[in-house]
Amino acid sequence: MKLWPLWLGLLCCVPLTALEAQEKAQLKGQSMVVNQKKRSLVIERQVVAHQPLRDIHLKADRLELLRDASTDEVNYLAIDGKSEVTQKDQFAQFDHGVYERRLGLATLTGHLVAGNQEMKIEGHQLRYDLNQKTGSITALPGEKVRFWFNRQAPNDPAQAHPVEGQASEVLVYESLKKMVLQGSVEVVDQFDQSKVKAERMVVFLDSTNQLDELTASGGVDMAQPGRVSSSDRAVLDYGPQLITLLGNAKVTQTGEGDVEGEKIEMHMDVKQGFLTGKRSTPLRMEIPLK
Amino acid sequence: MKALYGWAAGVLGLVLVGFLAYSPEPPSVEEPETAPPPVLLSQVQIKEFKGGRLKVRLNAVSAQMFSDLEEVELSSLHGEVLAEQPGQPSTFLWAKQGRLEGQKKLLTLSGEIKIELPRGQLLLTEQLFFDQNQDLLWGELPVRFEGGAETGVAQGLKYRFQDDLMTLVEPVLETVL
Repeated sequence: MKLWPLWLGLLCCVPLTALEAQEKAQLKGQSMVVNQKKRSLVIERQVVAHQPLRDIHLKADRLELLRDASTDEVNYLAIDGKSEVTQKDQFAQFDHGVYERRLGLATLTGHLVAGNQEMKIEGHQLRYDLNQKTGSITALPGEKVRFWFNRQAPNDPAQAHPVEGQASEVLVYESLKKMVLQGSVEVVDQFDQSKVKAERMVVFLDSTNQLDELTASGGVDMAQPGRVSSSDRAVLDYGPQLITLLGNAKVTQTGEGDVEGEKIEMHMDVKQGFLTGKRSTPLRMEIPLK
Repeated sequence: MKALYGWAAGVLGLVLVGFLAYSPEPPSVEEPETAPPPVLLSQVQIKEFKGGRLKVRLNAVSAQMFSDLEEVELSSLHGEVLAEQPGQPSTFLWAKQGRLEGQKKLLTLSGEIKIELPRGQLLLTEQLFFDQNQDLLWGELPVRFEGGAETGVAQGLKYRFQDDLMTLVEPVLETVL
């Protein structure tokens, strides 16, 4: 999925013995201080780095690295100033970045914006475990992490529409192509202005990093044009364009009345109405008399 | 009256004699002070001590010593700057020419300079200055650095022996991150 262009980590994870000339990065700046005793190197002002093999570019005001005295491996790498890392269509912008080899941990802080052509996340801090390929993005106290995902337009697969929202925290599981949005999560689908609120949502992305499935849990409230729903859990499947409500599900649709049950399946497109629930699940419909 | 004329003539005569006696001599042209010729030496070794310990050792194939200026011009030199702490590796240097100014304790190196720093990193450039008072090596011409974790070029450098600290101007380098 390569959600995060964690250049610092990607490069530093490569064993030194496996490195060839192409693995080297090219760096330049206005000044550089090399402290041989500390095994440190600091490059300052208009720092530019390029790793040709992976086509990774970095811009920053300051780059500092510390090497292991015996192996020469980079143990610690810090990037400061208005920084930007790009790899093909992926990017990350931040003010301060640190990589610690011993912990396998990269931390990006400041005004953090990261993503690619299909998604973007904006927050204050990203902590990323390079060994587990998992990370978390948090915001400053009192603020929220904002996110944008693209999803295929139902009527035209070539078109993409943003699904955007905010949450207290976003957890990234890169290998699983999955993200967990938690803490008063709110999502708005710009295709039809439908809104979903829940305590927690899990997002699955497809091979192109577009939104594939969204699972909401914990006091799910959904408002679509002409339809209002609530349930304990909800699954929004963007492939077949279906919504499944689970646990204390209740739907009120204009002109269709109320539907209640433990499981309700319905089309995302309100006009297409409901699907039946499972036979084992009693479904109660109240149709208003006209 | 005759006596008066005789007295006056005597006075004039004395004045004339006095004038002739005290007339200024034509100004003499000072001959230029010729500098002593430099002393030519071959297979020279210069040692500099600091605090009773050998600090710098310079060897040159040939040298011209200008005793009046306290300067020595060295050719094909190589040298060693010993570390402050005993047992620590030295810094070695090579250059085509060098000029050692004794009063300033300033060594100017020029031409095909190679510096080998204590940890093996090499610096290659065309002009460098070594200020022994400040333990500082610096240059303002392009310098190439190689042999360490970083390889590249810069537009100038400063290296402080005391803390093994090197500052490079406008560096462009390759390194493994």
